[in-house]
Amino acid sequence: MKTLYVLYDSRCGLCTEVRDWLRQQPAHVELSLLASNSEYARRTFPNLPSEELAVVSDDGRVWLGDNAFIVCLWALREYRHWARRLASPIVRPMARQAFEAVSNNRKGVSSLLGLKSEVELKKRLSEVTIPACPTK
Amino acid sequence: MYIVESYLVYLVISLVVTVLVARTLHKNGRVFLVDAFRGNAELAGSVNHLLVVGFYLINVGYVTQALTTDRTADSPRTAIELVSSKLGTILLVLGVMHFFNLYVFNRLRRRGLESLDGPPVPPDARIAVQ
Repeated sequence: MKTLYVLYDSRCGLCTEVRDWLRQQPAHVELSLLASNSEYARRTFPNLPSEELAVVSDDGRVWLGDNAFIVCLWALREYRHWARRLASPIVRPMARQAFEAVSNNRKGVSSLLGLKSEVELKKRLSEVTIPACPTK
Repeated sequence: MYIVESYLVYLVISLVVTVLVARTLHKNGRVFLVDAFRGNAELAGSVNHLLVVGFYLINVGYVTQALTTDRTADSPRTAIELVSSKLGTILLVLGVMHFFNLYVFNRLRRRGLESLDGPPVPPDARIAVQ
């Protein structure tokens, strides 16, 4: 496995924040981060749910939701042992519940933390009217 | 009266036991570390040596630090009791250090092996990727 495609929800501020964090981390495998509602992602992976975090390996394996999150951690140099811990039978149910709780309320969590998604930023920027240059 | 003899007996036994434990660690820890560093024997030897140096420094340091006592050793009985209680403490410290070293060896080994494995969770589905 050389590349992992990570499909995230670009309409959620928390998800884009996590994406930026993922981008900065040294990784064992190359991470290709794609917005799940982007044209490219829809064309390449047409059958994946667009609402859920998904990870696809270059050999066709798909992980969804909390599994996908664990695989993302596994791909990172500094966090591989965390992936093992979260995947262990004792911690797993708690990790799943925590992930689902955050994931299902990600819009609320994002606004609580004041995190803006790409889509929101784009919308807000498009609303800004740039004054015309004064003519001589 | 017997205090100098007690100190000497304590020092000799403590240091001999420290050397024996350190040699056991050095000899048997190597196998663990070679496995942890995926057969890189040179690196394993180096880390092993550094760990043993740390082990010696802490133990010999503690043995010498714990030498002095306020207790008197004016009869063979009190002298033996003094040496025994001192040695007991040293052996317990050595035991704790020994298990701590084992923990470190095992942790290094597990880390080394983990990096070879695939993701810790099975995939939810499979798709064809161009």
